[in-house]
Amino acid sequence: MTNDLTEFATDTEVLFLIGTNTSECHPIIAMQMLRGIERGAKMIVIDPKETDMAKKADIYIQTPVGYNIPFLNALINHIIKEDLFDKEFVEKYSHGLEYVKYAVADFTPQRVEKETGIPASKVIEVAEMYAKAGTAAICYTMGMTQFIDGTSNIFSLSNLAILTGNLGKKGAGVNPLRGQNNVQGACDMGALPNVTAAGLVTDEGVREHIKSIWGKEISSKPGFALTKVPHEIEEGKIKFLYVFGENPVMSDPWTEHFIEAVEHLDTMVVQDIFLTETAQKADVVLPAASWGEKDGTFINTSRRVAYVSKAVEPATGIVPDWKVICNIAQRIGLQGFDYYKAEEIWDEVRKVNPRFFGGLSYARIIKENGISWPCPDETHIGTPVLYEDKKSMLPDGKFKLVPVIYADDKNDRTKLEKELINHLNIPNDYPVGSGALSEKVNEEYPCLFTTGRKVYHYHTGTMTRECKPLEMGADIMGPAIEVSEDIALARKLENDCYAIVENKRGKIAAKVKINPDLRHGTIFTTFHYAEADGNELSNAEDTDPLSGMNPLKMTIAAIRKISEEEFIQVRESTDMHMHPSEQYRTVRR
Amino acid sequence: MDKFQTTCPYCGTGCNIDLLVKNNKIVKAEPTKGHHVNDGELCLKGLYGWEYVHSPRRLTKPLIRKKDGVFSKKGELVEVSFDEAYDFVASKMKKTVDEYGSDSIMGFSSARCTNEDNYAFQKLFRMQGTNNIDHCARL
Repeated sequence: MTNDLTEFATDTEVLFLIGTNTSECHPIIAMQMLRGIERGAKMIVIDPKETDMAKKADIYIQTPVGYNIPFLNALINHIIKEDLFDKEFVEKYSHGLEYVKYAVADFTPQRVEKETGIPASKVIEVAEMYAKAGTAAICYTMGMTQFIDGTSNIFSLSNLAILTGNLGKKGAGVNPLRGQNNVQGACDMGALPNVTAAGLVTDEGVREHIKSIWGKEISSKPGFALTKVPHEIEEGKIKFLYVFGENPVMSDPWTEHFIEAVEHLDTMVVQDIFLTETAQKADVVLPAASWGEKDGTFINTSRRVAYVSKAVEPATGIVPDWKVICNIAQRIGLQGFDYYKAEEIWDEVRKVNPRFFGGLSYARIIKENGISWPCPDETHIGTPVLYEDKKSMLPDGKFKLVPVIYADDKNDRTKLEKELINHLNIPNDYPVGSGALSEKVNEEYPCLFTTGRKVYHYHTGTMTRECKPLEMGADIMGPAIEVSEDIALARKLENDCYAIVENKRGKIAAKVKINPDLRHGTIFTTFHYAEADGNELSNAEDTDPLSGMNPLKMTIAAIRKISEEEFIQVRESTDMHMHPSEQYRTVRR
Repeated sequence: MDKFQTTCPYCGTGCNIDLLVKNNKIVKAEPTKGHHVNDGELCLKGLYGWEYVHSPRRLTKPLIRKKDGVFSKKGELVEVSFDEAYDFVASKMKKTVDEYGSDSIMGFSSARCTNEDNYAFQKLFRMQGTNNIDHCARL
């Protein structure tokens, strides 16, 4: 996030929520937003599901799943056409206005109305409310990024913020609400194929700097992205896979394909706290200490580095993940893994990236209850708001407005981008984006299928399903297939009947819940439950050309009612999960 | 009863929790009062999502897939000592790099674990000459 999440309560005038079910997935951020609304802030919500936040919004727009770029371009079109943009900010601090002007020219609010039925007047209302606000904050989650045009979606959002000067001030910004406790930290630590904790692997200066600390040259060749791994295993390029603290059998798209791929590995190592669905497929399983049993730091969505305290001793022989890793590194014969405690690793991180973390000692993080990076020295107070000097992190310090076009056929994206580059004479190193749908509904698979979370559970349920007040209490109903009213009506589905949802990749069976909050033609389910994991059906074939992301939030599917016998049959044939409690399975049947 | 202030392990909000501990067991989670992020409030997962730490299904011993006492892809996961497991992983990793090159190994790091865990993990791979490292931020 460019800003601190508490500013939603104290400073934001307009909240612009898109592709986030904030009260379900980030309840405390939702609380801060609602405090802002009590103060007088306005809220816009854009989502295929009329979420709790949508019901509290001043304007709610129900977009079809995946229909983001035409909508966002229409907002930008209106803002430029009506001269609602911040001319001083755009002129002084950005490039590319002419490119964007050209790219959005065909995207009018009327076009949105024609394509989706969303009234043009409402699109205009959103554009004006956002552009006229003194400070407006854009917030989004995976409902923006998990598409084949996810990166371009974010280009469009940052275009909106740059155009309206909503950067570098309290209560504004572009704010991805991070879904996992330490996504920010894992990225900042360099757990990425192209980035180290000091910067890009392709940058010679970065490699030199790391060598000066590690005493060893690192490779300049970017590694494989996680989404490419099943394919690279099948090609015979990856022979050894080491997974820690992650359950890709359930969280990666197209479960069956992932499981098939990992069977080709020479060795698969899984390091975890439970025998997860992924660990069950491993050749070696290494146990490790869990949260509550080890010290360390997390970095939250506002870039705030916070302390994680050990509270209890783990079982005999169980050590923190970093210690397991060091044990292995030392047995391989690698130097530089003789850390005695977590703090020593953190102090090395501070040397690798002094600009961000130089001033963040453990003592200071604990004393001040967390500090946001960049914090280069002990006297620096941290940076809750990025870009206060109106300078971007790019070499020339300017913000880039990125033209984003749209292709009706996903195979035309590169061609259309090239045409745009040639037509406008856009320099080679200037980014250009494009949108398209990964799949379109058809006769065989007439429904849009999307996934998300419920407030009771977290991701693949490894931890929350082992907590009785959540699994057996609040969430006693278990997995459900949520359908829009028109789907239920057409197929004679009632609440609590059994149904099967399937497409060419997989199928799941569960009880039906008719959800009037879903846009017509939409099916929703979670990926919390191994017995009915939405990712069985997710699209792993298509990727975002810029980030490598799969469109996990969007595929197509068919649904039909089934008998209890067929339901039990499907469930038994797909059973792999680690929570073997017959008790609640019977209740849920 | 002892009290430990920590950061919640679930979403990216970063709420602070006071864990109350008795006889080496967490018995209660309370929101840290007056904390910048969550200001004395917690969601359901923050309040009740700690019980898994003491689950009887926690892994306590390493496992290796074996058939007739030796490693086999067709075997079953059986308990082994920590030394055997660490030696096995180290030798397999080294052998793979020697035989197929640095880029034949790949690591999935964890957005659920600490900075220190993630830093050590990417260093393990980069020190062996590959950037084949990614994590579940995408998922």
